[in-house]
Amino acid sequence: MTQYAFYFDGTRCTGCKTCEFACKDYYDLNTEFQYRKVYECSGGTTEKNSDGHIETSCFAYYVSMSCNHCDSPACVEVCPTGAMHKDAETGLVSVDADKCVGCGYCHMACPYNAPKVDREKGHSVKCDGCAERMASGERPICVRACPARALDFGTVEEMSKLGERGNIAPLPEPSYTNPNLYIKPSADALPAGHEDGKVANPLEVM
Amino acid sequence: MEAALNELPLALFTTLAPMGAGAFVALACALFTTTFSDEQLKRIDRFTALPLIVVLAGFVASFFHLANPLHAPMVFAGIGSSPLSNEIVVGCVFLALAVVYWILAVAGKLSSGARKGFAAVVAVAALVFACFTGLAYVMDTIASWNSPLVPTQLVGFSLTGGMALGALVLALAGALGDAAKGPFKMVALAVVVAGVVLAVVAFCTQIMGVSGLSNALASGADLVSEVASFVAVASVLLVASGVATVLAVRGVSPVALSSAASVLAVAGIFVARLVFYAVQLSVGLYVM
Repeated sequence: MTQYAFYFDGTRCTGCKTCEFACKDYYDLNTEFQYRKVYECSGGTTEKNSDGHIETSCFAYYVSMSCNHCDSPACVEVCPTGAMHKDAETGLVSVDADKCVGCGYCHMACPYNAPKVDREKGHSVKCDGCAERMASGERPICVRACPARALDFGTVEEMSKLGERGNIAPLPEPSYTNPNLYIKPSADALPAGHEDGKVANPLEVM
Repeated sequence: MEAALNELPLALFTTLAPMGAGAFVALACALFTTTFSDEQLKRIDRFTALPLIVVLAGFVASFFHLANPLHAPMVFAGIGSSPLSNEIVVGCVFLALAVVYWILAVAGKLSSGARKGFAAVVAVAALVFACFTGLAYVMDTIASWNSPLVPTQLVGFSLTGGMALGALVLALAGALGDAAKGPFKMVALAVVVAGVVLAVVAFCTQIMGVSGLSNALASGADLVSEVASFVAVASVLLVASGVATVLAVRGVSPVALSSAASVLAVAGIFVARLVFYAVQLSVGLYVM
């Protein structure tokens, strides 16, 4: 098997969300669904010190993320029907709509907020790494759309040379599911699981 | 708590099915401690339909949770790997055993020994089912649910609600008074106390433990402060149910008090289940 992976360059991302909307447009997703999300991670305080100077520890940075097609995907492990599965050839995780019962167990278990049940369609939906585009030799639409070239997609051997595995907040420690997301952190990025890195745009991404 | 109402079908399933199952523990206790007349057994068997209906209502409610119920038979594909599949298969085994027991009992095909043996098997299956219902939520990516206290509280709910419902079956059959003349009185007291203690202590300890957790979206302390009053309400309802069951077994208005105990148990477990869903806190990017 050749495992495929995403790469995210935090030093290039401007938080423009073109990736998010290119995906929504390509897959014709309504307002309730988005397969790629841009998380605004921020924290810190601004205070006046004893000699009257204003000091700040405030920071903000962006993380663009879809499904990470993990090595140990929590969604696949809990799926009761086998609908959520990892492709034997590419390692990409996707939903077999003919098997999915729409129980939402994958949604509960995934620590990356990737799968979600579409009750109208009657099954879970999520990023499949643009498997069809990949089959025709093209890269995922989010990667193609990024104006800052902050995203990339390729074999895990290629992507792992560019960054560290899922290692910044607001992501959890990568040891839970071994995500195939490799990251070059921005200067302000906090380590994965760090208490101070909070999501500033929860209504947009949840 | 409003968000937890999205899980209404699951809250109903995890309230009704383990509670109905627990009634078979009460019936097994009664059969092992009391020699009922044939007429009493006939009436007990007739009213045993009540806990079966409660279990079935739980299973029916669970279907409303699914986006595609027609694919439900496929959940058996994950037996052994998916905790949800394990829960459903154990639930189906329990239900099949309970229905077969009931049909044989109503048809008069069970001798005294066979009835006791079969009832014991159904009671054990009921508790295993309650335990697996809790285990379905134990996973390392949901920090607030990843605890043995979760299956423990489900067993507590099953015993508390089951004893109330079982006492109601016996009371409706006019057999509770005779049962309470013998060792059933003490056995019922012991099981009710064990059930209420397991339910309330495990539930409260698990929920309070969430206050020390947080992720990038929410703080466990905030989640717990939102549900604190509901935790108290659920605990009071569960204790009140246990007290009403014990009083019913002791002969105080058996039908009225065991009915009240059953209603209190349904209400208490249901509130506790909603609280449980309201404190879902992932290790990563998910919050209820």
